Amino acid sequence: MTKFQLRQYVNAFKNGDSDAFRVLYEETKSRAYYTILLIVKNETIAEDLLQDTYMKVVDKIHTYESGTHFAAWVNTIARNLALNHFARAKKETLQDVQTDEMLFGRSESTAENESYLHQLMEHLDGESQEIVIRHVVLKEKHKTIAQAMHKPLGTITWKYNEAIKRLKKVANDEEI
Amino acid sequence: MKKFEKNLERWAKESVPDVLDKVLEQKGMPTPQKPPRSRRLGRLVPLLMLPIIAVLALMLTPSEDLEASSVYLDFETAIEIQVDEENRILDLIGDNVSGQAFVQILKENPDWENADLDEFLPVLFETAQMRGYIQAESPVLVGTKADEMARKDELKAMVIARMQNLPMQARPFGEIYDPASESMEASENPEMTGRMSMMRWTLIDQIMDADSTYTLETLEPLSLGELIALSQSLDVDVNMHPRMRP
Repeated sequence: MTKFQLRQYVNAFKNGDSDAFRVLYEETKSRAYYTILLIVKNETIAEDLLQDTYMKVVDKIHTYESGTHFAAWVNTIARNLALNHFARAKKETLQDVQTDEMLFGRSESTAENESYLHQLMEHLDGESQEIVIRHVVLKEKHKTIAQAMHKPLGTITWKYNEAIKRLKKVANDEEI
Repeated sequence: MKKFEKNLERWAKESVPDVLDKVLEQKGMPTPQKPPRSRRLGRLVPLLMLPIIAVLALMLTPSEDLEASSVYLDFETAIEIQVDEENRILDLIGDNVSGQAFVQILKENPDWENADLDEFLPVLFETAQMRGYIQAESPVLVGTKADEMARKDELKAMVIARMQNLPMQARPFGEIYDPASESMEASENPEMTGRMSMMRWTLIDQIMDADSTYTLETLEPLSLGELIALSQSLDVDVNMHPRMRP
């Protein structure tokens, strides 16, 4: 969807069109969700914060400036909510926050409830999961990922290629 | 993006938990009934028609005859953007086969006409990336044409600066090059119209000038990257600009 098309849907949503809101939600939810997940590293919490994000989008839509990129605006809301949660959790030490925690660890739900992506990603370590999500979903360049994760560019590129090879093998072995 | 990575992206999107109905319920908004696609679009058509009506109104309103200038972009897909003195877009023209197809896509959105060039450039590159009209890290040739030299230089500087400051997702290209302006005008070749951009022709012309063993037949199939590398090896001036402002 082009920026101009997105703008039309934003204007319709501002006029109360909930169909337009659905379109905007579908267009932006993936980036918002994985932005949150990268920070909080817990799928249950990420889901709650995703809901909070769109509640805030509804509340704050009147403050959105039409010259700016709508998806980036939603992402900023998502990131800020996640960072606030992360800071609160660290302070309250209610959650054992580790920087190398898996994005897709073993969840409390049964395996059959896990998404297909979750089942695939369990075969990677936490760092590789993050690199794949940043590059494939968030479209970050390897250089940006290296800076964000404080790793050499060569390490990121190598880990990414190895992760993709592993995921392909798992997908082929499981015939999915 | 390769096929498996595209699949990964799709699976990632499908794995996002659906919180929409909860949001709508909590906000007291009606839950959409998911009408058939044609009805859903039909409700938006009147709103989407507004820009078209506005553009038609502008076209029918007598206006000053603003002087037109052109911006040329070539990233293997070559297009010309004609703008008025206020940098509002007057027309989009494809300068090669893929450029002609790409222009049709850009024109699908009626907002293109009279759009501000500064706002349009990120949309252009995002669309090119989404639709596969630009390869990652592809070099981009930039050229401009105007009746006055000052205007031509100012327009080129503005476009290059804007490209250098684009947000990452709208900056799929590599380095930016602008072949020397004087050469570009001097080597304009009407036979290349619709076949290749004026800037690509300029590079080819200058390579042939620098080394007569090269011919149009041998140079035309080369990629932009190859032409630029060859130009540089022959000391032909291609004016490289880094894709990000330092």
